[in-house]
Amino acid sequence: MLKRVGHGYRGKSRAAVSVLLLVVVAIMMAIAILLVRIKLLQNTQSLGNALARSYALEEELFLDSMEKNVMLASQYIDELQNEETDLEEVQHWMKVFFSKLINILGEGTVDPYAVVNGQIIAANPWEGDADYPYEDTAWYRQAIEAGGEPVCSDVYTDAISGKRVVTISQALTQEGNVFAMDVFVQRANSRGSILELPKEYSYYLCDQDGQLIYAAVERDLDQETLQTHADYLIDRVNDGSLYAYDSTFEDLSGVSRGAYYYRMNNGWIVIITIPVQSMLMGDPNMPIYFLAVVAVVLFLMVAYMVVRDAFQNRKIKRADDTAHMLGDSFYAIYRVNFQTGTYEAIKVYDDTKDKLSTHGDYSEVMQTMRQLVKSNTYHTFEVCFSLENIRQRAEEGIRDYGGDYQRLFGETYRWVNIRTLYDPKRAPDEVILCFRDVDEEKRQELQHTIILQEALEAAKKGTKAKNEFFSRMSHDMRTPLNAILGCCELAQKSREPQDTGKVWDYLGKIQFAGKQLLSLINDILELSRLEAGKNALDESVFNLEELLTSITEIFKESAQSEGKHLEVSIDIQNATVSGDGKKIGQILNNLLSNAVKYSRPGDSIRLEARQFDFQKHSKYQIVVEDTGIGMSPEFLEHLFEPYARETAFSPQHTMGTGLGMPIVKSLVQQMSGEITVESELGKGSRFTVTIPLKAISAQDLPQAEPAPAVAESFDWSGRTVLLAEDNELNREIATELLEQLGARILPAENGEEAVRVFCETSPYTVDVVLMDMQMPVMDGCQSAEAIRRLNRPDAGTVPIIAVTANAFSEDIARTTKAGMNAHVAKPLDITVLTQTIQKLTGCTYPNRQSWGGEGEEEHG
Amino acid sequence: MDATKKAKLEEAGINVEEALGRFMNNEGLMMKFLLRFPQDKNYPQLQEAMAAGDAEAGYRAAHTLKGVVGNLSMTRLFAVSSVVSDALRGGDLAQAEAKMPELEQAYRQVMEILKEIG
Repeated sequence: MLKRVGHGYRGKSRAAVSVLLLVVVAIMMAIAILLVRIKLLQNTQSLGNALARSYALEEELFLDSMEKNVMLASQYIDELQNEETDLEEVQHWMKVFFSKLINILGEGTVDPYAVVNGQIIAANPWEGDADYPYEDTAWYRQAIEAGGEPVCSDVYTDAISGKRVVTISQALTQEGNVFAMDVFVQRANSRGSILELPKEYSYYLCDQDGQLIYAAVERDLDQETLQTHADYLIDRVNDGSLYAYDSTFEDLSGVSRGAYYYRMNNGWIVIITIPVQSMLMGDPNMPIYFLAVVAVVLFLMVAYMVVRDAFQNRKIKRADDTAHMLGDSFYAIYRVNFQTGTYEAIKVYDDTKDKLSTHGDYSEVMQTMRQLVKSNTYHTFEVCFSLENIRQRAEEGIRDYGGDYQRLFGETYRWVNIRTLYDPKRAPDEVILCFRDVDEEKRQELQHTIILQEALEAAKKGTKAKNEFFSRMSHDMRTPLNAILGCCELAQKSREPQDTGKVWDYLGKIQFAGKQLLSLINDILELSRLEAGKNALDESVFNLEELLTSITEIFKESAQSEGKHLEVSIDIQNATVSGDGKKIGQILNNLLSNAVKYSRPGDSIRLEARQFDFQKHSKYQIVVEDTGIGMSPEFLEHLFEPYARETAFSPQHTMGTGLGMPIVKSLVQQMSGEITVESELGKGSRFTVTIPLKAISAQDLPQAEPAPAVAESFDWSGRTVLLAEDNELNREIATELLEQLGARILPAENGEEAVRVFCETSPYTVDVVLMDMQMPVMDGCQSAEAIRRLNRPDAGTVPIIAVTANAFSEDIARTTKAGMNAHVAKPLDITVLTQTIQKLTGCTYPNRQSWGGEGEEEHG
Repeated sequence: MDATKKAKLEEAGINVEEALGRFMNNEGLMMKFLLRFPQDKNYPQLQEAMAAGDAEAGYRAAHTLKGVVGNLSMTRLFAVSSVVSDALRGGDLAQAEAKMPELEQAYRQVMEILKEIG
């Protein structure tokens, strides 16, 4: 959870940083644009001011040059007067001078004239010249006052031409004489440079009174409008509001403009206005466009990154979580740089935390491992995970490498999986070294390996045994076959009439060998059928006694012919049973034929049949006993194993397959029976077969003996009897008898042991306790009392029957007092015992709840 | 059951029919236990107790012997050992002592025949 919160916080702060970055970029862009704008405006101001100044200078230069012309003319006129020239000559010179000036300056720019000896002499004579009161004029007075220096008047409107003019005048050497020249200020042709201004620029030239002298504007406007605008501009200039670099005004078309001006020495003013638009956005302002585009692109990039980041954030977080979860399965993770030989610990197990820092030399890791890796594997470990080998694997492009080893955890070794993971794209110089606890998996794996090995071993053994068996079988088959073929050959050769006897003999041998071969093949087939488990039981009702008799009859003859005695003793109550008679016949055939085979003349063979427990689920015991050659203990051990025939156990005249006993065992087991064998070499063998068979009700049988009392008596089979008896012989007799009836016996040698054995069983396991009275350590009564006192549910109810050789009433009273339910006398009579229990329990299949009720009463 | 064997056993005071009945007509089982009888220590213990005059130990041995021979249907031995057991139960050493020769004879007979058969 903590991690999740951390991630959330990190995500949010990341978004905040992104937004902040966006804002910062935006602000920086704005500032940059503003700075550029300011710079541009400032540059434009400088440019405008410079332009205004240069135009002003040009104007001043023009006026100055006019003054020089006046000075030149004055000198010439002075010279003419000195040589006593008449006025006409001055007049003529004046005209020449005028025409020369016009040639240079252009038509309508100047008008020279002079006062010589009280007369006005003009280049362009005027009617009123003679009467003109020149003494009152400003130009005349100023020139006289200046005393030989040229003087320039203010701009005024010429009375004759109506044009705006200035008059430059200079006093001549002779007193009262003055040369003057009118200069028409509204000339256009002499201001050629102004026309070269960009057409959106405007130019205004005003005199000292603010009267517009000249204007160059984009649009055609009448003089009055221009004058009004010029007045407005001059007002703004005067109040200083156009002084700042970024100050603007709106022109007559409503266009925002900047104004730049220069005031000349004579008080005239030059004003240049430039539209703001052209300053900032005109062609010369590409940087603005460029910057703006760059700003927008940058902003969009940052914005895209922020948005993408937001989208990817979840993805990254999930990937991060996944990596964490994957990492959790490793108890230690290191990143090892195999070029520099260093490591970085991503995750360290607790027991190495003190020994390894987060960064360090890789040799430190190996040094720590030395103490943890099991010593016999450390060398391999050291080699496999040396820097050199890691580097080499990286060069070979091996991405995943590792193995299992045992590592010390505390005081125990556990299996651990180590891996080096390499990804040249992500980290070309590094591998991830990770460790995972795989103890459980490894142990299971090892366990499986062992099981597999064992299975393999068993399979190998089986195959080997089978192979041996087949090679032996083929030998066994070849022997009778050779006999058959040999005898045939001999018979074929015996063509003489006297050979008839020989031929008969050969035929007999052929028959014998053929039978041998057939039985061998039959056995092999039978065994393979049994092994395949296909030999199902075929139940039918048959008479066991008849079956036994008829089978023994078969063998009686051959036994007698070999001088062997075959006795039969059958003692069964229920001869009619349900079961697989064919298989029982097969078993007896095998046992009896073996008995006959492996006995010597004069030996005796016995077949005994008995029945236990005359109930529905009767057990029948068939014993086949002989006093023949017997078997060695070594042979007995493998008697029931197929393919393990003892070579010594094959006398030439009794060829067999060695499969008979395995077949018998398999058949008996199929019928849920048991077979045991006792044998001694030279003394004989005894096979005991016990098979449960369903006894069919004996109504048909003439000797329907079983009394109803017996039929309904207590069923011992499956019962557990706790038997307390100190005498070994008595204990064994009772055990044997009760076991024959199907009961399970828990023996105890004295009273104390009886209590202990009883305690060791779970409640209601013991069906009845048979208690001898007189025993060492603790006698029967004490033992019974102890059992009754136990704290368990069946302590008070389990039937306890005293078994005593004393029939004294006082003894019986003692047993009752001790909490015992009944008593039976020695010697033990099973029938009496069965009846006693029957009486106690009240039914054949007793209801446990009702047990001991009687006993409790007696106890009380 | 071999008639001669049976006769011999009966002669030694063993009720073969009864014994067979107890052993569910399993002669082998019966013989197995009969032949185990010589290993039973109760008779020597009884003799020892009698020699020592220990009525209590004598009673225990005689009582157990009675149980064992009863189970094996050694009728004669059972009868005598019952008398001895009862006598010793009452602490009557003298009466028990008086019966000992008879007990010894019956015991010896059984032992001899069992030796012969085994």
